[in-house]
Amino acid sequence: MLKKLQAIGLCMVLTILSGCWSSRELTDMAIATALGIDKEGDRIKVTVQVINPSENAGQSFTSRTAVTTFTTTGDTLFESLRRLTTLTPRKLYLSHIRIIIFGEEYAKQGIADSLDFISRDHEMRTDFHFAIARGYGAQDIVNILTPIEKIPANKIFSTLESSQDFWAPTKVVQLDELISSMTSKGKEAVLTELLILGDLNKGSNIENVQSVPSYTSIKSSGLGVFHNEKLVGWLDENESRGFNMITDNVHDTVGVVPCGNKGNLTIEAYKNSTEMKGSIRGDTPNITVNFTAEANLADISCTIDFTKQKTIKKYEEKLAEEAKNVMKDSLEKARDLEADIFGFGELLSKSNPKKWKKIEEEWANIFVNDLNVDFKADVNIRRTGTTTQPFLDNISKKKQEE
Amino acid sequence: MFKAFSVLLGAGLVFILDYRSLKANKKWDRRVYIVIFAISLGVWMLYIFNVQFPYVIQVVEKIYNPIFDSFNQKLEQKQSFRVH
Amino acid sequence: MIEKGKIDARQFTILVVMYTLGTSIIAIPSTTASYAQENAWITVLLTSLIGLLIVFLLNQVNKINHHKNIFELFEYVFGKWVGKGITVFFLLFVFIVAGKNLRQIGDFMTTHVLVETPIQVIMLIFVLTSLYGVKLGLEVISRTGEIFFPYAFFSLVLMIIFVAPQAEFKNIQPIMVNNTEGAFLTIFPTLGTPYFELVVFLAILPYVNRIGPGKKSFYIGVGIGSLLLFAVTLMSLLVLGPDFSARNVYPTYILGKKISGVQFLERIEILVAIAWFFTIFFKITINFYVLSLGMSHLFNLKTTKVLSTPLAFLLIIAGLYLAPNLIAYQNFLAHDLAPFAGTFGILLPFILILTARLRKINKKKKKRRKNKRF
Repeated sequence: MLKKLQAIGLCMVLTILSGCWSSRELTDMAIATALGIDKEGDRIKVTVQVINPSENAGQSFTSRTAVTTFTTTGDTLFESLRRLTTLTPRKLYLSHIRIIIFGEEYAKQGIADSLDFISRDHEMRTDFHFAIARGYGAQDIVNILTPIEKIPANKIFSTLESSQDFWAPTKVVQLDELISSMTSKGKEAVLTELLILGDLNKGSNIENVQSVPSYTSIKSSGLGVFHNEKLVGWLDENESRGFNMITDNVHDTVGVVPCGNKGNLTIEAYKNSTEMKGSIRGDTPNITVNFTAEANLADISCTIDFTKQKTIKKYEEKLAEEAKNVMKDSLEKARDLEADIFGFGELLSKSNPKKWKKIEEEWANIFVNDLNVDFKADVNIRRTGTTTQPFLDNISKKKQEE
Repeated sequence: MFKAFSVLLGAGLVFILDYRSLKANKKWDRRVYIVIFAISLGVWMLYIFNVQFPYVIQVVEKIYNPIFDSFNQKLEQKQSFRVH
Repeated sequence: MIEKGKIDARQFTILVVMYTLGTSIIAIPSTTASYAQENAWITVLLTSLIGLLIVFLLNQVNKINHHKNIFELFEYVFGKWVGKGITVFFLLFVFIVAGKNLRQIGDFMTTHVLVETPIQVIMLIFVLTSLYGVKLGLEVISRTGEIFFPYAFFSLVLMIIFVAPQAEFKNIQPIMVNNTEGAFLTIFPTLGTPYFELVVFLAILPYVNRIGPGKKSFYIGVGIGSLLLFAVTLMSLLVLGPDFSARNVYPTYILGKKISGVQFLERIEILVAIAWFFTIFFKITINFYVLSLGMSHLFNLKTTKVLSTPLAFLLIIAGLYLAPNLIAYQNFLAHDLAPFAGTFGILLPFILILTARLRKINKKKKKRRKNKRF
């Protein structure tokens, strides 16, 4: 009798321990990869890009698209996401989101209300990136199909990462950084912009990935500047590069200066670092930005003598001057927008916490008018690539002789 | 009702299986066991029928708050996102 | 003596480490960061130094009589009936602490991992596992500790290493300039979670097979635990920043989510969860064990395991009726836990020592021992 009871007891335990209580099978989930958030009147419009599983796994592919999108509106982000269940065949699974895109109009009215849900929800991770759709709604970007990467969200994700690594003007921003720069008193947030090139309407059609040059593509080149939670303006490509140089966010980039009579000298700067120092002397805050780069010659289209140390020196100085100008332009633009995106205020609050307390309230004003920023730049050309002297020189000599 | 029934059933099962292990013990041991078991089951029943007890932390708070209130007020001043 | 088992010093160290980490590893970064902001790591550092002083105090209590556990000491020092009365209150304290731990793991699981599972079921599973441990006795619990300790320890260490590249030193600057008072004030509530609760080890310390190393291992255990706590808090501040650490309920888990430096090492935040399951399992089991032991002393029962089954089910209720919601619970952690735990964790040992001194129990004992030796 007891043995039997024990057996029954064990069986009951088994049902608890199998661990399937809140399990969700892969076939019950709609895996979301990108989230687009727009404003529609007072309501929030959400567009979700969902993976079409049969197109991404398995042997036989049909002519269906790799992803599909759903759009709905609601008073809050969470409400609209839940309302999506009336459209999607399965419940959304948000853990694999790669990118969250805000529409320009929505970003101008403030993105804080959706960030709360994003940081509160347990399915949301923190490793996705944020971007703003410049000139368009987020929906338009989420709807575009991309070549090479089947899943457009992955394409945007890797575009952002690779262009941050090899081309300076973009920046990937993750949730914790975004929130802390929005809440911090001496810093403002930036987010990468996304542009649509080409015909918007053709982008969501499968033909977009069937022809060799795509009709429509997504590009990221500059940065959107925030003041608190609101988008206030844009940095163009060069200003964004300056921003990244100041904030020590450049891994590998390209620099161009004119050389000789006509033509350009291009370098690949591969080891960039910036040191920012803040101090408050008397009442005037000072910032020194010290940029150093190591570079390789990459592309020369002029006739100069590169065997001489003097020439190298001269172009190193020219490049440094160019770097300084880029950084200055970026600062000017930020001052126009009255947004301390570089975190100068935060820097001062760390280096001179007591004096910072006094100027904290008027910081916005001080940043625009009184702040003294010194830029220093130092570029060292280390190698010349696989060749030394450009052959263009010889061509032009040959021309003269003829 | 179903919940109460299943709790009773579970309790019965646990009792039969567990009480057996006490056979070698003294009578006193078994008596204490039955009393504590009854208390446990009683509390579970109250829980099942949604009888409100005061929450533990509210009781603790009532005892300690008079002494530590000023300290806690001071601490709360340092809270990083206190609403002004 | 009710417990006949013996454990060795190393096993005792492991139990202490597990107990110290138990709930604190996931709760402390958030509470300290919200009151001490960027100085939270200093708070944790200072707290752990005070923690070692508390261990000193507890060892002094044990010195009254090496062979008696805390329940026997109560009766030995205060006399039978007063001793029993104090035992009742002490057991109530252990009961609430065990219920609290159960509630914490339940809350964590329902927030982050198994969202749709009822909290009662999670608590039931945890308490049943602990019950099994308690039934098997102290020796088995300690040996299980030896098996699981490396997993818990290394998954935490690995997590710290993996997130280290993302650390930004500027997050903890300026050091001790703003809000210094807050950093010192926060020491008190921080002491509440692991250090004042360490008093339960007075019920286990007598069962360490050699007394000298047992005391030393108490220090070592608290030391290792505190070091890990400190490292996790520091990393949480460095990587997430004080603001984000304070805003999250479980910043340690979010820290785990940040691991993504190397391509193939992504999404391993469950490492943190694993470390926490193991440590909190031991915390619950130790509290539960001490509770059963105390009940057996209170009612003069033959073994510890007699009352463990009904107590297990009572613990679930204690966890459920601990707090109405998470916010109330967090307020409790910050405001009332430290005084509550302090009453038993520091005031009671103090009174024990003082009474023992006044009644000269210590000296008598020594004389008797001397006589024996000759």
